[in-house]
Formats: sequence, C-alpha cells, structure tokens
Amino acid sequence: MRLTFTAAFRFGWLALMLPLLALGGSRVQAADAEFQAQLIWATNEKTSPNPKHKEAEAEMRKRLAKLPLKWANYFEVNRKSITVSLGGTNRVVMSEKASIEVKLLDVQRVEVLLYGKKGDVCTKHTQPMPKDEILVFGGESAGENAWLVTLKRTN
Amino acid sequence: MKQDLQLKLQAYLDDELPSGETKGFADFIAQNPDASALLAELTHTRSALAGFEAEIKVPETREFYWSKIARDIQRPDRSISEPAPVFIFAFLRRLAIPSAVLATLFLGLLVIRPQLGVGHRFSVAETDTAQVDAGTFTYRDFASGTTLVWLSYPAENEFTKTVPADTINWE
Repeated sequence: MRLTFTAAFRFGWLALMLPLLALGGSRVQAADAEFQAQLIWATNEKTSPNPKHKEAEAEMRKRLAKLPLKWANYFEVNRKSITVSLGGTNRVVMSEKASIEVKLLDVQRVEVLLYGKKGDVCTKHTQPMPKDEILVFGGESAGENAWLVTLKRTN
Repeated sequence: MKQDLQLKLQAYLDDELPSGETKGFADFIAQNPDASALLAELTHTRSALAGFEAEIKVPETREFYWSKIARDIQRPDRSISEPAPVFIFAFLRRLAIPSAVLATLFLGLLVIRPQLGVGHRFSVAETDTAQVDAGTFTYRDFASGTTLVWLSYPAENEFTKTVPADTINWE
C-alpha cells in the first residue's frame, strides 16, 4: 500500500503527539517526590547512650564520612518518610523540638525549612535535589556530640 | 586472396561489374579454386540472409509512417521535466515518519531527563541557605551528592534540650 503524503503526515503527527501525551501523564505521576528524613546522633563514643538506637546505615555513614565532620559514630534516633507533590509542602516532626518541612518547587528543586524548639524557623535552604541526593543539617550538642537531620530523596 | 580481388568477387556476385569484365572474371573464377570457394560461400550467405528477412507491412503509407517517427523524435521530451514535483513529494513523504519519530525521541528525552536527574550536576550557586541565626555555613561534596548545612549554635541548642522518650537522653 502506498501512503499518500497527507496520510504520512497524519501518521507522523500522531507518532509525535501520542508519546508526548504519554510522557505528560508520566510527568504528572512523577511529580510526587519521596524523601526520607533521619535524626542522627553523632558521637565519638562507641555506643549510643540509648540502647534502643541502632547504628546508622552503612550507606548513610559512608555519605557522612564525605563531609567535614569530626565524629566517628552515628546512631539513628528517628526516621520519617515524606511525600511531597509538585508545588506542595509537607512537614514532619523529627523530635519533640525539631521538625523539618519540605516544599517541592519543581521536579528537582526543593525548599527545606528546619524548625526548632518554639516552632520558629532555624534555617531555610533551597537547592536542586535529584534522586539519592542527601541534605544534612547539623549542629553541635552537649559534650563532644552533635545532632544531624538528614534528608534523602528516595524517588 | 587480396582484398581488391575479394571486393571484385563481391561486385561480380552483385552483378555490379562492368559488362566488359564480367566474362573474363567468370573465367578467372572457374580456374581459381579459392575464388570459386569464396563465391560459393558468399552466394550461400546471401541466400540465407534473404530467407530470414521478415516482410513487415505497416498500415500507413511509407511516407506517413516515417513522418510519424520524425514527429516523435522532434517533439519536446516532457517526461523529464514533469516528474520533479512527484520526486519532491515522495522524498518528503519518506522523510515525514522518520523525522516525526526522531523529534519524538528528542522531545521525550528533554522531558524525561530532568525527572531522572541524568546529567544534572548543580553548582553551589544553585543552593541558597537563608539563615535565621548567624553562623550557618554550607558545604557540598559533589562526588557523593551530599550537602551539609551546619548551624553553629551553642552546645545547648534547642534540638537537644528536650526529646521524646523514644529518643536518647540528650541531657
């Protein structure tokens, strides 16, 4: 069968538009971003003061080792999952006095707010966060220890 | 046998020799075996060719038949100039589908690439930390994709003051 030019043009147009529509649909589905937040206790002690706490996962320890942190051991205190839709905001409490809020500005760019004891904003940070990117907030604590709030994009 | 003799033999066969030479040349052939053999071969060849000539008769007169051929030869050849547009459309038609597929793949890559985060390595300039308290600094390890925002609070910072029972005793 010989295609006329018009038929070929229509076919080409369909071939162009159908995948784009499919991609558009997948883009809507992909607009939801998933994160995992962890509250981590950083110390040079070999064990955590709370036996319930387990050592931070190996991958997290490996990533933290890339940062200019002086602590030898990291213990996971708490872990929360966060799902944020495009343009949306989600806030989770990491401890009684600390919470983290994530806003998905576009498919990659996020705005993260760290809240303190009185619910006031300690810091606001904006950056692109592709999958597997980790953002770490930290500060010194009593003694030679420190607290860390990590945020990893999982999807 | 010399060539002029061969030509003369052919002229004899075609009855084209001058009448005064015909008798003498016939005697020469009769006495010369090579000339006799060549004459016999030429005679045989002519008769064979004459037998295979097809007698084709055209419906028109000879003049009209040849004038028709002459008109066809002199007529401008339109078969060369006219197919050009057909070729262009055929070429475009052949290009349409592959072009659409390539354009789709290209656009699809543009759409998918930022979602996958492929090839995107942002710089520190793309990060922005608005600190409420003074003394915050940012460090980024590009190789591992890890960013540190360090808050230089005093040791008794707000995060460590009070924690739920399921977390460590920070005091």
